[in-house]
Amino acid sequence: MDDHRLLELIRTGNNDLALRELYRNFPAIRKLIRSKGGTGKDAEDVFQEALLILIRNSQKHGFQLTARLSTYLYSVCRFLWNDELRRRRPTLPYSAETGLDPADETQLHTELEKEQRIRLAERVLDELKDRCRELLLLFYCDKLPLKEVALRMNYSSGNVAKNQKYKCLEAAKLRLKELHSTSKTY
Amino acid sequence: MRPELELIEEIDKYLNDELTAAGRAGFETRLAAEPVLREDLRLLGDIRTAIHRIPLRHDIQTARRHYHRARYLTRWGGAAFGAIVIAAITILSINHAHAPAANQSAAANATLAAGATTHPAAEIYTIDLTKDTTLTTAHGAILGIPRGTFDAGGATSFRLQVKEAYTITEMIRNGLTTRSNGQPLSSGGMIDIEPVDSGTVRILKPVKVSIPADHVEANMRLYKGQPDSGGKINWINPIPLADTSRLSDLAIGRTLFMRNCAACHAVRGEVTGPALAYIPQRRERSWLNKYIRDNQRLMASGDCYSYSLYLSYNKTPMPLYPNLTDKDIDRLLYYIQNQSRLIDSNKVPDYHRTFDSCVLYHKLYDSLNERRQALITANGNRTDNVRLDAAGKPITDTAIALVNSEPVTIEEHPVNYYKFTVESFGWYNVDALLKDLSGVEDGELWVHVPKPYPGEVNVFFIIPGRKVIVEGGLFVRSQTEFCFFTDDGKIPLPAGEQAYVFATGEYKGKPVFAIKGFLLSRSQTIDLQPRSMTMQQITDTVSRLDLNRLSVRVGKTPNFAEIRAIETSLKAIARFRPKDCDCNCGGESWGNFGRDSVGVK
Repeated sequence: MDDHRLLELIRTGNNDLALRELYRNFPAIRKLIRSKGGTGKDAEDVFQEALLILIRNSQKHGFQLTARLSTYLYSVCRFLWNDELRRRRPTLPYSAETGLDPADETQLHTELEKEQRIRLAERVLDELKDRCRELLLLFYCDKLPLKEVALRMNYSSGNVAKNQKYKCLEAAKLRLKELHSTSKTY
Repeated sequence: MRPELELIEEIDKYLNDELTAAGRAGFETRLAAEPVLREDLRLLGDIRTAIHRIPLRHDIQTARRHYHRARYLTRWGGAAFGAIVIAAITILSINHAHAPAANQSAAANATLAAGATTHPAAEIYTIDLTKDTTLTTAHGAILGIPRGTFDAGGATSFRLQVKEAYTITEMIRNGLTTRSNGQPLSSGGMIDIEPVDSGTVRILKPVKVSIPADHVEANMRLYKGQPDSGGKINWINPIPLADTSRLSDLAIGRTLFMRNCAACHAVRGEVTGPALAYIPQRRERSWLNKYIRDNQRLMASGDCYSYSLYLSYNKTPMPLYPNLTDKDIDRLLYYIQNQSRLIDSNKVPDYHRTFDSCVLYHKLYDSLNERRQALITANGNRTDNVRLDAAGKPITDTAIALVNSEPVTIEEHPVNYYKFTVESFGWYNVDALLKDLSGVEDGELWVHVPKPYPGEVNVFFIIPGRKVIVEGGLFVRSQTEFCFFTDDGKIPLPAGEQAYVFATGEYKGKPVFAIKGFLLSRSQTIDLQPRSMTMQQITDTVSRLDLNRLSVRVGKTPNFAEIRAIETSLKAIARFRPKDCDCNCGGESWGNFGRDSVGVK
């Protein structure tokens, strides 16, 4: 499948198909990470992180691919792994060689900060009650109208759903804020 | 509406880009002024991104699973392998207010109670309590319900509701999550069994449940589902699966594979040796046994396929494993088969198919070609050079004794399609000329015929005035020049007389011809360029020249039509010939191999 078709799949929300295709790049990444002292598990983590970044970026307006997707993924993984290595061993000198052009790299640094924040938010969601998470999923991912959400969640009315959604979001927000203040190391 | 709620609504709208231009401008002004609002916006933005990540992470995990294992196996073995069932779950007791005391002992048994949330995909089955029932559900789970398993308060039948979820999508759809006390689980499948009229049915004996799995994981455990107050299910109290015999076989198979095979083989893809995916289905078990234990003996016994493998993989034979027992091979193959399910069977190249095509091709080719050669042999030589005396009887050449030189060797080409007849009455040849000697001096004559024709044509030299005709032989050293008397080009020649050289033959199935006239000098090289001509053109060209009753005729050979037909068939079967496959087993190399490999001198 060519890169444009892949990007098209991502833009049209067919992530499952695109990811299945993208996962074929995994062996190259595993090789890369293993050659740089990582384990298979590290490789899987880094690769999945890179997939998330790729998908988020390609959904942005005006995203232009400057290299082949496989090359892009490879570079992002190299970048992520360098970053991870420095995190594990702060004394390690910064190895700048990622094969990315500087503009992309600066952008990736910003991405990475955002990634850290999203990871915290994901942690918060994970701690949330299942029912809350389900409600938010119906609301934001399935983009269902309030009435439909209420029906699915067995609420008496759309208003109740709205209130519940607010409660869940507020709880998540407070917890995230708390996490941010306690984990400034991130 | 509470102000916080309102605020969140507004941030939502802002992020959804649903505000009016004015509302947006106002919001942005406030953003610039209020750091708290900025932080809230960022936090909620992150949370929303994280929410979108949930299905995305599912998708990634699915892709990962898909990558590491093909999901379903249907193609190789057809229906027989369509639903691989593991005997997985021992018992499901129905957690129920009327559960009898006997059930307490089975506390570790899984209970899969439905949550309060909507579960759209329930199947209802009516169970006849007077019989043993084996129920195969819509998704392929098998429930063994012996008579007396349920008590329905005296009724002879009751209705059973089954819900199944084997994929992440089905799990999400059913509102099932895969977590155990907060820890995520990798699910091999979930099933929920419940009587429709739960008030009256009691369970008396264990129900045996087998769920379909495309892949057996060695560390799968059975969890008990415990609904929480919100109706969601928490999976607790893991116990090992009831039937783990296949799992330990799998583990042994894996060890055997890693220890013996993995250095040269992968299940997916070629390494040093071929990919082994689906090999248990692709080959006869008896063949596999022989090949695994002693592939060299198998080869020496004349098994063409193993020889072909040997040729295809760099003539590197596989090591011998004479000590593997049948049970070991069982386990090994079980492991390979289990790993194979991770792979799309359509993408596994089957070497044996290629081999079969190759063998078929050669068989057909050989039989056709044999027939073709027989026909060609039956056609005889391409050129009949007939010299007749006045009475019409063939003249036999007088033998010539040559000193210090080799006479020309005339090559006779077998004829495929066209036969040339050179006919002359009362002609002499060079030895007559030599004897005569009047006006004849030692000279030199070469005829140059460009490649690729030299091997395909016969070349003649004639002096009509002297009634001389002689056929030339190819000069061995140049391979493009013909000479006519001795193989150094020497020939006695009457200088100044008219002479001709001509070439007849066939090339790529068509008659070719060339003729050239010239005045003889002591030494000359004549160029002939054969061209494709029709039979009529050749006859016409010759008859136009004054050749003193010499005629050259060309006609189709008796076997023309049949040879053509065979060649059409040969072309037609070429499509059976696979690329990259060597199945040449009948040949000499095969015999040699058989001897070398087993050390027989």
